[in-house]
This record gives sequence, C-alpha cells and structure tokens, in this order.
Amino acid sequence: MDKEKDLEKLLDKVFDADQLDAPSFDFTSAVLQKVEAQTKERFSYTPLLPKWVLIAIILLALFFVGYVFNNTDSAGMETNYFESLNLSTSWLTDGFLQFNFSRILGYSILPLGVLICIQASLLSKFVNRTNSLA
Amino acid sequence: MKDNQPDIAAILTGDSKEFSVLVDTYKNVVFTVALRMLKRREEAEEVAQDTFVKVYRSLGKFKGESKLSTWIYRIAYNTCLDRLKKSGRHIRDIAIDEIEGFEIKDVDNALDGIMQSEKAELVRKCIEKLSPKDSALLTLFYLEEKNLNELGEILKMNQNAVKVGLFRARGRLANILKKYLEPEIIENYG
Repeated sequence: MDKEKDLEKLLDKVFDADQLDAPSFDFTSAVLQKVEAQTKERFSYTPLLPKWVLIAIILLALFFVGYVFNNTDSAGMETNYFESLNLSTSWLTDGFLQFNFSRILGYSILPLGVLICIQASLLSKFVNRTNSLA
Repeated sequence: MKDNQPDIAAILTGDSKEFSVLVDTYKNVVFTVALRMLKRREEAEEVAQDTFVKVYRSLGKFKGESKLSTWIYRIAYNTCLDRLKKSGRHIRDIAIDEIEGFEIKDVDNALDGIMQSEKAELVRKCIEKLSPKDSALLTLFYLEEKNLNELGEILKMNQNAVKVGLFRARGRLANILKKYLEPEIIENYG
C-alpha cells in the first residue's frame, strides 16, 4: 500500500514536469484539406456517359425496337432484325444474316433491362444516403 | 481548456469553421497520445490528422453517451493501434523489472535535484521507453485527467483492469527513471 502511495506521489511529481506536445502549426488546415478532399471524392458523382449521349442511346433503342416490331410478321415467332433493317449491303449484316433469336427472348430481356435500371437507381440512392455525413 | 466547446450540429451541416474549433480543442492531446504511442513525429502527425478525418466522418454516429473528448481519444487510440499492427510493431507491455519500495524514494530524491527544464526532457525520454499502451494510459490519466471509467472506455478495459494497468505502468516508468537517474542516486548516497 505504501509502495502504491509512494509511486503515486512520484508520478505526480514526474508529470508536473511534463506537458502536451503540439503538432505542426498548419495541422488544422491540413486536416480541413483532407476532409474537403474526401468529401469531394465522396459526393462528386460523375455519370459514365454525358446526359445527351444517354438520351440519344435511349431514343435510338426505342426507334430500333419500334421499327423492328412494326416491320416484322406479327404471326411469326422469329425475326431477323438485321434483315428487317434492309441493310443487306452492309458488311455487318453479311456476317449476321443467320443471327436469329426468338421474340419471346426479346420480350423477356426487356423487363429484365427495366428491372436493372430501377435497381441501379435505388442502389445509387441508398449508397448516397449511407455515405452522407449527417 | 474546454470552454470553447464545438457545436456538433453545425459541423454536421458542413460548417468547417466549427470543425476547426473542434480540431484546435483536441489536437494537442490527440497528437501527444499518437506521438507517445508511435514514437515517431511524422507518423504521429499523420495518424492524428487521420483521427480527425475519422471524427468528421463519424460525428453523425456520436450519440453523446460519453464525453466528446473520450470518444475522440478512443478513435485516436484505435487509429494508433491499427497503425502499430500494420507496421508489425509490438503493442504489449515491455518486460521491465519491478521497482522496490525503497528505490522509489531514491528516485524521488534524485528527481528533486534536477532542474525543471532537464526534468521535462528526462520525463519525455522515459515515456518514450514505455509500451504504447502504458504511454497512452499515463498520458491520458495525468495530462488529460481522465478518470478510471473514461480510461476504460477509451482503452476498452474494465475499471479494475485500468487500475491494475495504471499501477504497473507507474512502476515501469519509475524503474526506467531509476536507470536514467542512477548517477544522481549514487551521488546522493555518497
């Protein structure tokens, strides 16, 4: 018990002579810079494609789908999209003339694409919310 | 020291001025703990900065169940431990012999014969020889005047373990001091 008290007394004396160390003078501004850099990194969302490219792609896709469905035999279960575009002179269509896939497959891919788009936007909102500072 | 308490709500809305008040309030303690645990100034500065970045990012999760200072020091302590683990340095106590009761008195007397400026330098050298855990424990107890309960929260220990840890850390520091003060102790006997 005496030893404990003596130790306490000694350490009180030791730490009377001790004081806190100070970091460099620009410490606070360095912290603020780091925070700012991380905040920008976390919140600056840059889409992979510019908006106008995205709109153009969507319009083109809609046009293509509309064109294909209007120009194919409604009773047929299969269609050759490249042939229906009547681009028989193109080098691309020569290679793909035999490329056929059923309309059922086309109809099933469409809702899958829509679901992926919805999920992507929901996930993006969720991630933004969990990453927010507040 | 804590008269100028930072406004957490303002920081959460993105008020960087208020955050700089928080950094200024706690930077010296955070840096001192980091320096004494890591033993390298540049590394301590980097870890102290990382601590405040973590504080900023997690401030929304601070519910006020403990003091803000206790919460910040816990983040600082854990960040230092992570750094030590990453660099493969040891965290556990260094084996140092027990100091005898009569030797404590000798060290105490020898310490009285040293000038204040020399004493500060000597204390710094001795703390440097302690393990990271002992250094953090003693620094927060003596310089920041944290009680056993708060120390337990910071170091994730129960109060009894903190009490025992403090006693042992004091003994180890006294023993290191004894080695440094050997010439003065011999002189006192002569």
